[in-house]
Amino acid sequence: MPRIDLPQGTLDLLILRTLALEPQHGWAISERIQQISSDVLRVQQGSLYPALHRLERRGWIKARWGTSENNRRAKYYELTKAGRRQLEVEKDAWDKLTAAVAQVLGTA
Amino acid sequence: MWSDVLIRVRTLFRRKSVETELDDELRFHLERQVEKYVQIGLSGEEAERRARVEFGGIELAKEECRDARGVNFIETVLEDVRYGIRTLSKNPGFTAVAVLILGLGIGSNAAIFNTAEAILWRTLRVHDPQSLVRLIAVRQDHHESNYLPVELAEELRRGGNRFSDVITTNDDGLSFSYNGGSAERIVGEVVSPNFFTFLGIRPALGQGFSAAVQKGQWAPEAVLSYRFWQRRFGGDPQVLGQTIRLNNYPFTIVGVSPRDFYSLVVGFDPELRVPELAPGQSLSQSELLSAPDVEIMARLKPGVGITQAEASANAACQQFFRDDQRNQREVDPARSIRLSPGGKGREEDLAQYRTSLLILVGLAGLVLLAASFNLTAMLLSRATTRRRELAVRAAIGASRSRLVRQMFTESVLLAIAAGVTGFFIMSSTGNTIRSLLPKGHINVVLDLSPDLRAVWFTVGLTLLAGVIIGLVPALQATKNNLNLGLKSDSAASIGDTRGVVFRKSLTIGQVGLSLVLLTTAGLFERSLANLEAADPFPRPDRVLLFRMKPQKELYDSERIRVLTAEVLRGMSALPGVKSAALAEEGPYGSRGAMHATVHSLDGRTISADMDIVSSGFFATLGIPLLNGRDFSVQDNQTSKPVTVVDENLAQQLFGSDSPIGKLVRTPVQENDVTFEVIGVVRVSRYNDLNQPPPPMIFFNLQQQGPYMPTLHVRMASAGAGTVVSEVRRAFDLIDKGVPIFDVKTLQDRATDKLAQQRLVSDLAATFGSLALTLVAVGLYGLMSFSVAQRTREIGIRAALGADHGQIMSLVAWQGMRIVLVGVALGLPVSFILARLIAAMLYNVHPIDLFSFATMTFILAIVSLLACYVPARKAMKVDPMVALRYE
Repeated sequence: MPRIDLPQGTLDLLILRTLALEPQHGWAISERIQQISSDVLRVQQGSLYPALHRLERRGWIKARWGTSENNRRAKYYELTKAGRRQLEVEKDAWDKLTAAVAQVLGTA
Repeated sequence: MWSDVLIRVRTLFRRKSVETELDDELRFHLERQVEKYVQIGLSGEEAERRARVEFGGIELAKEECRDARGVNFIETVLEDVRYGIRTLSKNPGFTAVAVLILGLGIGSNAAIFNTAEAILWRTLRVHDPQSLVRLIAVRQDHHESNYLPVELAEELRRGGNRFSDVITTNDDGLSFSYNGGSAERIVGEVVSPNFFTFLGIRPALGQGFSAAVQKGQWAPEAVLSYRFWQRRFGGDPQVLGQTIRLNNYPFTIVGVSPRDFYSLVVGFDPELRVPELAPGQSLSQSELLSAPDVEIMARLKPGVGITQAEASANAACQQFFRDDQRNQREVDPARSIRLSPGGKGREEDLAQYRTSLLILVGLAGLVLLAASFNLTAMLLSRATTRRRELAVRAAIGASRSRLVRQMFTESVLLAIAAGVTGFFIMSSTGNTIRSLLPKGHINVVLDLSPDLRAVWFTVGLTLLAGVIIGLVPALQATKNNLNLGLKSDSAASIGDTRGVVFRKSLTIGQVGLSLVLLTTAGLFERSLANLEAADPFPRPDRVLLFRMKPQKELYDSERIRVLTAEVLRGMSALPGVKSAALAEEGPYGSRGAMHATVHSLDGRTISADMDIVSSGFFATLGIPLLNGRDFSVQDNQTSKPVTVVDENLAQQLFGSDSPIGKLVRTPVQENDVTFEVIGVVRVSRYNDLNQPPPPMIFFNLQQQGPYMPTLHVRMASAGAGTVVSEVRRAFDLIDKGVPIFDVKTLQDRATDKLAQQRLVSDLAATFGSLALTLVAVGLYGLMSFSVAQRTREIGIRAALGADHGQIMSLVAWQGMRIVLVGVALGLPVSFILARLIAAMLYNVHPIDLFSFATMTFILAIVSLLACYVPARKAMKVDPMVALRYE
């Protein structure tokens, strides 16, 4: 199955959505996105971490060190309250955008 | 928002741990990925390879993470600074030259700005200077005067509601003596007792005027100026309570004013201050203490505007002027007052320097521009040689913006070092600039210690220079494909024409700027030479001048007459002295010309300059007597008043008639006196050197008593040393109580008279030579660079049979073409500037061919020399070596 690189700006949304389920470390986040999208979406690993740090700085997620499933020290990210609100906002915007794009494609 | 700040701060201060965390986080990711691949059956090695490939550049990701955390900026700046310092110190020769060039540019600007600031714009260092106002009397015919009746100050203090307080000041020469020594002439300021508290000035030593004095109970107390204390008492703290004598009256030293306080008049620093006497009281030894007219300064009440205060103060002042009997008796009585902002003090005395200073500020700006051009070119050529380094850095992942920032940081570092150098240049040129200011009966004393504004100016210039010199080379160096830099140097450099063209234009700019500066300097220099040549007196270096001030409170007119006769007799007999004479002012006096209105009996009137001189004056100075006779001892108090005039006056009043025996009338102390003309002398430039001499009339010192006369001594030979001490000793024998001061030769006086012109001319010449040096350095650099680049071409030419001369002229011509273009661009600008300064030139046409030709010639010679060395190097290129080099 061909994989699609993420369109600009959607990575943040996907990270927030993934973290809405439970706190995760970076590797798990990328795995999760890939799994849920049935391997269609591929996260550029090099850009995942800058995105995480950016979101942390904006206060939408926060980080703490924890123990991973294979018993190693890993950095876990979890959604903050502000992050939850932001997720709603971005999800709304995304829905509107896809609906609009679909509409245009449908009528043209 | 909060998380943002927190993260930035944490990242900045706990850099180590944050970096480790970042490492750990990414390592964990990779290990997890490897694990995953191993689980699906890859070999350990293969799993690791795939994980890495998938992840992409780890360093890049880290860099982006740091950027995302947002403190990266500060950190990279610090890193750039560290790297920059390392690079610059690795190349100390380059760094030193660059810092010196730019430092001189910044330093000359800062020094000129500081001087202009001190003279034109500096605020007084007193409490709340903005609320100070000066009172100016407006007279009936709208003339303005700084002097007002002392009682008016009293009146304004009583008025109460307009000003929070009022002070008065007045100054004049005093005869100072200490410990029984010879009298010295100083300038004292008589101030109202509230002077220091009014200005919020705390003495550097002592308490200042005692509480009793401040309450209006006069006592003979004196506060020394800081500089007089240093000069006369060596800064000895024991002076407090000591007795000094002013005009022979004992005063007690009660304080020393602080170092940064000079006076309320720009350029004036009185040696000491004493309290004024209450109105109605007087002291026979010093009329100054109870002078009827004084300068008045007031402090506005908070919230009161200057126009508001003027309106309400005027109501009281106009009434006062109407009621004041003394005012009403004057020919031109005061009618009202005007308020002028006093925060900068009184600046009229030095306002004549404004144009000169502004021109110098402009010229200094051109020097900085030339220095910036020079440095930009230097940095450009360095950037070219640093290609390899930049290419390597680009290859291991530095972005272009990062490289630009790095090079820019280095330029700013250079500029900062230059700024510091410039600041020291400014601070250390104070004495030089002070020495260019005139010295007369009252010295011009300027506070040239840099103040905050000068510091900010230097900082601003530094940053500006940093941006100018930094931006272009940084952009240029990273513009072309950096990969080229990794290939062979020579292959890369051949394509690099744009950089060379740009450097050429910078050099052209320097040539143009230096031509402008040189020609301007040349014009000022010519003008000054003309002025110096206008001095008409033979051997002015052999005429010694001594100013003396018999205080009129101590010497009545009879005693002065005896004194002057004794002085003339005594001095003429001294060894080494050919003749001696007295004049009230003498030529080029610092008090300026004295004027007289002269009427002939047939009703013609002219205004003339005047002086009061003794017999033998014309012979001593070397002014030829054309007709009639000199004053003699027979012309005295009891004989008829006589006068000597110059040709100019004789011509204007009497035409072709012989003036000898003619009568002229002129007012002397409000009475018209008739004088008989007994002699005619040749016209000489007596006061202003830069103006055609006005008619001149001389009166007889024996008949018109002197006030502060100058002894003129013509020496048998130059070399004043022994004669000065002989004369001083002779003075002490005659009367120790008469201060002798302002001792100099007539030549020195002429020099002082031209102080302003010399200031401009000397500084313009300095700037010109600086710019010329820059051209030499710049051209040398450019040509050496070009020769190095063209080694192969030159080698081929040599191999094909070009002889040394041809190669030399090839290089020299290349350099001189740049000079030609620079001259062609610089000349029109020079012409425009010359027209602007035309009014400041004496007997020099602004388009003075001689100056322009000379300066262009000098520029050409220096440029040729600068090209010569690289050209010689080119000449010595061995074709074999040059071609193998490829």
